Parts: sequence; structure tokens; C-alpha cells
Amino acid sequence: MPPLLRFENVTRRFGSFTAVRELTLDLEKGETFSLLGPSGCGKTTLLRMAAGFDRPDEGRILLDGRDITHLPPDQRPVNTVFQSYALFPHLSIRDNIAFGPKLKGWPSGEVRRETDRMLELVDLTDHAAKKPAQLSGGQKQRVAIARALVNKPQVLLLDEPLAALDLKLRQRLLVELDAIHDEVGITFLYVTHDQGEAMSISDRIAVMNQGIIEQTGKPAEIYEAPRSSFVAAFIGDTNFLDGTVTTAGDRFSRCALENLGEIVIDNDRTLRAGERVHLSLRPEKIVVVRENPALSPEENAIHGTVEDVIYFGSRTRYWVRCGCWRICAEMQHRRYQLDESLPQWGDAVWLRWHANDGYLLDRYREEDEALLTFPGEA
Amino acid sequence: MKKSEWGSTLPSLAWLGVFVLIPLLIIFVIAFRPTLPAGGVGEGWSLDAVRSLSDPAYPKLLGRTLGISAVTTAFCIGISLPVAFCLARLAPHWRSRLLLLMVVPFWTNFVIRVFAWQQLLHAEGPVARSLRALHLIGENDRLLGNSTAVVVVSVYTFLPFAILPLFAAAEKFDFGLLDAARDLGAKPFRAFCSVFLPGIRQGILTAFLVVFVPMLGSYVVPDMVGGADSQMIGNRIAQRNFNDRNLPAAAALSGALTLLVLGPMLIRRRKGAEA
Repeated sequence: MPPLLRFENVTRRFGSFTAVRELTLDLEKGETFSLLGPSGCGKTTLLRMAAGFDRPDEGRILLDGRDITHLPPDQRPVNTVFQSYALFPHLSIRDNIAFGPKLKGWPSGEVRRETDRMLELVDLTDHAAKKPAQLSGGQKQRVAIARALVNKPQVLLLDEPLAALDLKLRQRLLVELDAIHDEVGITFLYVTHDQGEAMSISDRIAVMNQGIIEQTGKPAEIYEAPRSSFVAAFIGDTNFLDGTVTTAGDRFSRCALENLGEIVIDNDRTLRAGERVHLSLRPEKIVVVRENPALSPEENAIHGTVEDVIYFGSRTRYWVRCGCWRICAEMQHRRYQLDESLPQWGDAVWLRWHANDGYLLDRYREEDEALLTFPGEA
Repeated sequence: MKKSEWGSTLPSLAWLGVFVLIPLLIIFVIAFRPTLPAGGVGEGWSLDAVRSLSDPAYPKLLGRTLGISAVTTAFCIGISLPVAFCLARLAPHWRSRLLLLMVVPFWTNFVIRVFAWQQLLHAEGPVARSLRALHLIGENDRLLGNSTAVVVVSVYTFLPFAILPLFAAAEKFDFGLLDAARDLGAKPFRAFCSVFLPGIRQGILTAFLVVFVPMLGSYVVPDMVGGADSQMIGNRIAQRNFNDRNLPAAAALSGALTLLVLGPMLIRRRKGAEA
């Protein structure tokens, strides 16, 4: 099946700044697709080009096989939910929702029926006669969603729709948004800088940085198998380890870390001895134990001293000094544990992980370490 | 109002009282005084001046005054809307420069500017010559001395007073709403009409008031560039005052015009308060 929405080699420059660089992206029908990245990565520019507010300098945009690159916004079967809601202040909630259908010349009975249906969908039937200024932030956002959805767009574009709301409301609306998506079955293109939002709502995510897509995949793929240091550091927290391959194997290779000895790594690509490799190791994959554990050949254990402990309730985060490395590890508390049974500041501990838990990066850039909450000192 | 607020409002209230309210009352009082044969206001009371309002020439004069004022106001707002829209979308430093350029001509005295228009629109002036050369007007057509000239010069005079309130409203307008309207299927002009215009309606109302109301009392422009068939109520008031030396009749006409303007506004205000 051809993709529903396709960006093909799209480039967009603003003066000397390239916001989007030769980008190609396909959206399947019915999926929730997120563009995730820091501010200035080009995700909003991409969305605006899909909506028709901006045109690419090069490349084209196809909707259902049709070239819509130069179509004005009013002629595209897509609708946008704006970050600032952009509700019309002089119109009632009902008239805001009916704005699109009326423009399209639907019969008045149908306008009324569809508007009622949308009011019900977003649970605002009782507020239909109010003006936007009388609603709360969350209600306004639901009106914005209803106002876009009533037009039955082929793609619904959501531009950081929850960014202006507080955390609790954001989480609730996220669930509602997901339910709405299940109900209407329309393709969602969701732009956000919040990895949590993207992870929980998306079927697929494209992580963007400096105008290109770093990686596209299911949320779990993005988290578990980041291909670049940017993706690994932007989504969740991680440790970056780098070393030199000593023994290249079929499935597992051995690699020497600077003044820390050898570790075993899972190589999903062919390695050569002497090659320099970069590894992402998520904190929660590491087990902190007090005694030197018995290891299988695919397991690693390195010795260190606890330098910092942060207790989060459900989990505890440790920073452990291992030679010249400072490694972050995180442990869930599944069972009732008293503080004394957990490693404390200054304790000598072993960090243990399976080779499968470290992930070999295709691309590594040193500046991405700045994205980590507490960068380990190399 | 709090006590302290009364204190700070008092000077402006006093100013309004002394220079607006009391003169207005004096006008209404004079309208009910008799006129003296030598000119001047007599003692006692008389309804002569008020009765003079039934002059059969007045309805036509009033109609013309309303017509010229309405057309001028419509042109002023019609021209100012796109100007305000564009100004509000400009980068701030360009915006202030253009606003300044717009105001600069108005540092020249009003009467001198109207004289300049007399020269421009004169039968041997540059505009008339060009239009004749292009055969857009005939040999005997005149640009001066008619209602069109009054409207053209009045629009020129009042344009900045329309642009400024509209610009002030447009500057506060959220232009993201236009994107939203376009997104929902509105063509650019439709988005302008159904989102931008309602969004700045307070500014439109202000622009209407600051152009239409002074236009009703217009006197200098029709006197200088208009003709016999473009006289407005202001000219008749002046005529009653300076030529006929009939101050009560002038006051009656002036008072009637004031009530004509004030009446609808007060009713509107009353309705607004009830709603």
C-alpha cells in the first residue's frame, strides 16, 4: 500500500539556516506518527509544510499519491490543531466547530449533526454556547481538536497540542487523544519535544535533529535500539561507553574500555579488531550488586564506588565511579526494601549487565553528551 | 470609584465640564433666546430659532451632510483596513518609520493643506490637466466645487484618524487565527472578513466615530473646495452666525446636530447596558 502522506527529499531554508534538509518520510494510513526533537530541529517547519503554511524550497509532498506541494492550506484535506489553540474569540464553541463545515457549504442539518457529534466526542456538549474565553486550557484544546476533526481530514496535524497545559492535564488529554484516535481512525501527525508524550501516543516516531531525521521506528525500537548518540541521549537517559574492539566475533565481540579492562558487546554489525566503537547503556539495564557476581560469558561486571545516590521512591539512581568512568545505574524497587539493604554512598559495588543490554551506535557525536541529565565524565 | 480615583479624574472632569459641557449648555440656552435686529442675543425667551429648523431646505441639507459624511467614513475605513493590516504584520522598526511618515504631512497647518488641494484640483492644476490629456474628463468638467472634491479632501484629512485606531486594534490581533481560518478552508479574503474584521471591531467602531462625527460638523473643507450644491450643515451654521448675525438660529441648528449625533449613541449605550 502506498503511504498516505509522503515527504520526498524536502528541503526548507530560512536565509542561511537550513530548517529541513533533504528529508524523506512516509506516513501510513491510520497511524499516529510523532515528530520528536528539540526546538529548532525542523519539526514544526515540516508540519507547517504539510498544512500548507509553508512551501519547501526543494522536494515535494504527496497526499494519497497526489502532489500537494503547492496547494494552499484551504484546499488541503488536512487540518491542524495549533499549540495556541487559535480559537476564534468572537464565536461560540459550537460556531468555532461549525466554522469549517459551513465554509465547505455542508447542508445546515449536517453541520448541526456533525457539530453535535464532535461536541459529544470531546465531552463539551454543555459548553456549546460559551465563548472560548470562558473555557479552561484543557477545554480549549479539546475544542481545537473537535474543530479540526469535524472536517474529516485525511491527516490531523497536531503542533505541540499539550505544551501549554500542566502535567496532570497533559497526561489526561494524552489518554483522551489516544481514545479519539481509536474512535475516528484518522492519521495523526503529532509534533512534540516531549519524549514521554511521543512514546505513549505514537505508533511510530521520527526523531529529528538539525533538519534531518536521526531515526524512525516504533517507540520501543527508538528507546531500546538507538542508532545514534543523539537518539540515545534525547530519549531517556543513557551512559556512553567507548572502546576498541580486541576480539571480533560473529554474535559477540570483546572490547577494551580505557583503564577498565574488557567487556563483551553484542555486535549487530560486523566489527573488525582495532575498530573504535561507541556503546549506549541505559541506566536501568545495569544491576548494582555488592558482591562480585558469577557471570555467564555474555555478561559484564565492573567494579566501582558509589558517588551519588538519588532516591525517587519507585527507583533509585546511582552514580558509580569506575576508574575514569562515571556510570549511571538505576534500580527499580519491586519488593519492600529498607534503605540499609541498598548500596549507600561510598560503598564498593559491582555493576552488572548483559551484552544484549548495551547498544552499539552507528553515529556518535561528542556534543550529544550534553543532552544527558548528568553527563558521565570520560 | 474610589476616593483616590476621584482625585486623579477630577482635572479631566473639570476640563470637560468647563470646555465641553458648559459651552454645550450655553448653545442650548441661546437657541431659546430671541435674536436682535442688529445681531446679538436678546433677553427673554423665544421659540423663533427652534421654529426656524422647519426650513424646507434643511432636510435636503441634512441628507447631504449625512451622505458626504458616510461616504467619507466608508472610504477612510476602507482604505485604512488594509493599511492597518499590513502595518501590524510589518517588522516593528519598519512599522514605526511608516507610522511617522504617515503623520509627518499633518504637521503642516490644516488650512494650508486644503489650499494645496485647491491648487491640485484647480481647472488648470496638474490633476485636471492630466485627466484631460487622458480624455478621462471633458473640457468643461471641473474637479473643484462639487461633493466629490469635498469627499476626496475630507478622506485625505481624516485618513490618519482612521488608520491609528485600526492599527492599534490590528496590532493586538492574533494573526495565528488567520492561519486557523485558512486551515479550515477559508480563502484569504474570506479569512480577512470572517476573522480579522470581527477581531478588530472595537477599532472599526472607534475609527467610525472619530471620522463620522467630526465630518457631520465639517465646515472648512466644503467651504474651500465644495460648491453651492455641496454645502453641509456646518456651512449653514456659519452662514447664520457670520452673515445673518442670527446667533439663536445658528445655536438651534448646532444643538439639533448635537442631539442627532448624541441620541443614537445614548440609545445604543442604554441597550448595551440592559443586555
